[in-house]
Amino acid sequence: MKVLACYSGKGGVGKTATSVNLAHSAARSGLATLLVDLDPQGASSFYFRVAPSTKKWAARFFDESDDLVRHIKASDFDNLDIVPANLAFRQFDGALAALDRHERWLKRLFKGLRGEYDLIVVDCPPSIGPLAEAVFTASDLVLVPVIPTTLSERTFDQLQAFFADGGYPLERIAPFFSMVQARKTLHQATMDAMRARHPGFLRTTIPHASEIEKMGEFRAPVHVFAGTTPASRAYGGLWADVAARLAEPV
Amino acid sequence: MKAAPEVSWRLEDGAGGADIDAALAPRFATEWREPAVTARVCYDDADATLWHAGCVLFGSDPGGLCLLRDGEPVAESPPPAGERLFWWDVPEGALRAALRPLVGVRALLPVATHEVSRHELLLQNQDRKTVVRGSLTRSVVDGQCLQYLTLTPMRGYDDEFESASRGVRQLVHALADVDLQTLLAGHRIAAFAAARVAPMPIADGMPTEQAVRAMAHVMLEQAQRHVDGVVRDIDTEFLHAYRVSLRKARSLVSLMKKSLPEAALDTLKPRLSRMAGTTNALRDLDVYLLAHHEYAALLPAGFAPGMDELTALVRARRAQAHAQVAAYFASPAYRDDVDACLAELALPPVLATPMAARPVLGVVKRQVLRRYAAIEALAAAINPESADDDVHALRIEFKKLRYLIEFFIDLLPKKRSMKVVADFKKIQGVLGAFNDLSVQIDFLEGFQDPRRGAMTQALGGLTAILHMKKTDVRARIGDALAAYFTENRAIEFGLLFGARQRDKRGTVQ
Repeated sequence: MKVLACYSGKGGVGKTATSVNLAHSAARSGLATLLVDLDPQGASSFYFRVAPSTKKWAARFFDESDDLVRHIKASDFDNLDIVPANLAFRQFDGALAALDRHERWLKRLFKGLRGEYDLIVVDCPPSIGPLAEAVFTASDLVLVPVIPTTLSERTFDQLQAFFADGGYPLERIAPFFSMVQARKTLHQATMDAMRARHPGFLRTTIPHASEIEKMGEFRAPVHVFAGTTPASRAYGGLWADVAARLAEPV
Repeated sequence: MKAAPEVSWRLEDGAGGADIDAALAPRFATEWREPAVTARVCYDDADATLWHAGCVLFGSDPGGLCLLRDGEPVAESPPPAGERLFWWDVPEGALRAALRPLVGVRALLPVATHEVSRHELLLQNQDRKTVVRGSLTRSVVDGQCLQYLTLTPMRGYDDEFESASRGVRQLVHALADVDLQTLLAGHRIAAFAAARVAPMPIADGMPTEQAVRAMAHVMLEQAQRHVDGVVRDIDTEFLHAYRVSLRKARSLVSLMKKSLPEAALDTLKPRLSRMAGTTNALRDLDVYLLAHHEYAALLPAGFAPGMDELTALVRARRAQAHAQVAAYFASPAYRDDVDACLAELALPPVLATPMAARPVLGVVKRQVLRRYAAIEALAAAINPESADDDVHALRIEFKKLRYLIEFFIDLLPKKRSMKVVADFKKIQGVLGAFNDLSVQIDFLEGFQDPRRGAMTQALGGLTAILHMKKTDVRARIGDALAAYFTENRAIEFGLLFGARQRDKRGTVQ
């Protein structure tokens, strides 16, 4: 079982769209996939029409995976289940900070799902704190959407520094360009510069496309309602890149 | 990922998709997908051997042939040409290997055309999220349509599944599986109901004449069921089964002749004999053709042209013999023989002999003991120098005794009697092999023809080998008889068939 986190310290960069579309692509490829929506806003859950969980998360949620299992819901798609967001997730950072070895909590929790799933996709909230540390520890790959602008470049640099300071393996970070507008020279120039500095950028870029925005209207992954569009093909390509990275020996 | 167990029900006759929608409407929106329709032709032999073995063989276009056992695919193959199908018509592979031991020499024929349409159904909540999956399966055979509703719970939506199950309750009755075998079983297809052994209409206190008449009537009717297959030449087992049924009827009449009036015997014996005897030549030719590959393998390759010539000649003679048998079955003479025998057997008992009125079970037991003693005496007289005819006579007596027990096994202690029959089969295996070799040697010698040099050479070689085999088998007969006739055997027969017992009605047997 592999764990793929979709993370950025910055909001509005396409994390949730990426989590949703990659989880769907993975399931279509035959992998038993679980999408865990850790973002209390619950956008991933919304896209899959899964209502936010109203079940109370038990105190032992922080100790055992049984409670996580209780919250799993089937999506409308074969091979894809979802742990929907819960408003209680807003207090994650505070609750986790009180735990000993909090950075290992998520890894421990996911251990109980081995054998049932091939891939866990984690849609993370845009915060950097104990929850992010737990995600970085639990993940085999941390997928980072980067809009090719100066501000995003700065955020990405901060993430790298955080990894270096925390002793997390830098090769675990898999950045890719998101919401790319090919006609903008700034986007092109930023991508060229960042690729030169960071050879780990994934080959595929995700365009800024109206189909991706329409996910909220159709409440479904792009492939379902716009399967032949460049946006859908781009997510297919991104999944191929990610699958190849996940298959690389650790 | 955990797969949720689905639940299926037989839908009430006349209920349909609209009724399901209405039953679920208060809580769920329903979305029906385009139905997937599959048409299959199911094959089986005349005894429904595959069906009784838990198997279904079906052909679909495209798809070819597929064999299911207990619902699981065992093997598949491209479809062979032709409507009638033998295992050797199937291309080399897993299906051919699976069919061979199951059906032997029997032909597989289309027995049913089965059409299944499956409409997938999604039950959605107010967010249009699918919360329960389902399907409506329509199974059609010969215009009869059976419908099944399946609901599959989805993880995290147990309440919705329970609610949907409650909602459709008034539309469904029994729980059911929707695998292919269960669907076919629901249609009660006549060809699958074929019974190899007809139940005998007898009871232990029944007068012997009444029992014999009723049983022989069943046996004769059983023989008639195979006639059409013989005439259409579907496979060689139809003739074999016809002859076995007739042989049993003749054996029964012969074994219990003292229970029947002279007039009945005068009607039955010559007619039954004619009905069987007319098919002798065809059966001998069939036996050769069934074994000819085995025979060819006994000889060096140099004899192959001669064997091919012989086989071609046998095939030609078989075609003639089959035409004669078919003509006989179509003739007034045959119809007259059958009608006369059936009419005679259907007459009420006249109780003209002392045995006729006696309760049948007691008569059978006495007959078994008497015949056992006679066989023991015949066997004691067999030695290495005994004539072949003496060995054949012993074999026939063994067979009659076995038939006697088998005919009345429902009235006898079943388990112990079946053990006796199983032991008979062992000794009969040796005696039967000796007889088969004798018959085939005589049969083959009838084809000697000096004008056909290669064939006559092959025949010489083959009969020599069969003679050697016959000598080997003959040498084993003494030991087999000694092993069979033990002190314990006699005690067992005495205990099983000798003690006078009261039957269920209290009559002393």
